[in-house]
Amino acid sequence: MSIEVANISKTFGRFAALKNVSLRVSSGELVALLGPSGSGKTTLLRIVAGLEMADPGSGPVQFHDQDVGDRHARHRRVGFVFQHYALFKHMTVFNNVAFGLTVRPRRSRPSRQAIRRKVSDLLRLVQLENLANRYPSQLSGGQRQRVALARALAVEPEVLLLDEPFGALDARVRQELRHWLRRLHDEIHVTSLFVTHDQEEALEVADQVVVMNEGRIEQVGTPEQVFHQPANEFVLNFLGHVNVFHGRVQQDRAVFGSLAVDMPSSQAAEGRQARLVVRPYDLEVSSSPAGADSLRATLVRIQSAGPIVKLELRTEDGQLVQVEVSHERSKSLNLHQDDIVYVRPKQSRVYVDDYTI
Amino acid sequence: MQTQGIEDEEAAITLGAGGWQTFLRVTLPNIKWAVLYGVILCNARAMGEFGAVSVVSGHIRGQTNTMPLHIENLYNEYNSVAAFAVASLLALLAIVTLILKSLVEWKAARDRRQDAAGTIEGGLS
Repeated sequence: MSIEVANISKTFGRFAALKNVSLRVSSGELVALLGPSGSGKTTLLRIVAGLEMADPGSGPVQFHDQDVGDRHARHRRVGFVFQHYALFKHMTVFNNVAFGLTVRPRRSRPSRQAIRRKVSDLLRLVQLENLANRYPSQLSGGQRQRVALARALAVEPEVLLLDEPFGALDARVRQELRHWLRRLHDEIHVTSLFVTHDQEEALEVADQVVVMNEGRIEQVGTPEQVFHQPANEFVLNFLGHVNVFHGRVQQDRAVFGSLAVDMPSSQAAEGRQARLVVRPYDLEVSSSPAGADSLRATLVRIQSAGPIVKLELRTEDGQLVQVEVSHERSKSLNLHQDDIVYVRPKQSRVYVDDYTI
Repeated sequence: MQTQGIEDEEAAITLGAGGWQTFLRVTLPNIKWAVLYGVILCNARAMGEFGAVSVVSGHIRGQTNTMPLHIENLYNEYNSVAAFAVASLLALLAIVTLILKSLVEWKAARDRRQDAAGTIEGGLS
């Protein structure tokens, strides 16, 4: 079941949460809506669910090329999972999962045995079959979220919508659950849309990532595309840590202190502010200046506990730079605190206001 | 109800529940102790009402009368045995109300404690 929204706008009072957003999610995909808080991703999800109405004049919300815009949330057949679970705390796990089936009108309601069977199947799917008689308050956060997911799946939704499903969990449980979610999705293949502000989560789990900012979609692509070919500075900045150097365009070159990057046909940009954006592992560190294009810096901190060595450098104009190198490289350089080193970007992007290479 | 938010109700609606089903099966159980507490306090207030009834509707016996007004009427008629009997009854009702109120408070607190304990435990594990 595909999801398609076109030209959706939404304003709360004078705040524009969504500005003319269009998006298509193909059938069976797991898509992440990624963005900082206030970027409109949850609002978009709630509009798809029917919990929020788009502004008048917005385009349709379509499930499988059928307009569901005027269908009440109750009849949209979406499974919605909330960040804080929203489990019914006066009901047992079993009754929570069964809720969507027991509220059906009598003629379409499955029999008691059928409900029992369905619920125990679902509890097995989320690996909680022996906790059916517990109350939500007796479960851990990860277990509660799995109950919420089982409850959403019980009504056989056409699309599954998850609002920061792992946001309230601690780091380890979150990691486990997102792997589990990926496996579950591979098993049941229901079109799923999930909201997250954690770029690692989005890149790891999703088939497609939709990067949002200030009510607009910045880029849609596979995790590889958005990571390796970011459409703009925001996407690059948001997907992982980056170093930003500020400089100016001078005679076909963008100059950042002693670093310069060629910028062909940039006459129009002459004198403009430029920003050089480099990921920490795209910086090469050496103990002697390698060519003209390197920055002299002092090593402030070495942090080698982990799969890579993180270095913190301070350039001559006082800027702190984060660099990541392999343990081998770090050993061969024989680095110590307060050493003078030279850094050179292996790969970088330059952004000039209104101009990009 | 405002601090509880509307997430539970939204969850019920996306699961296909209608307005009444949502109210009866989700909202009401969430607020039942608060509602019961309100009913008890309101009832106590109504039983003891004196001034407003006396001034607005003039305590007509059998029609617009409350127990305190009835006691006044009886006392003014020098029927002190009946007056004291009704007064005792009123005192008894006050005690019953107090017991009910404490019971509800205790139950509500226990529910809250359980939730809180569950949340802490859930957060840790």
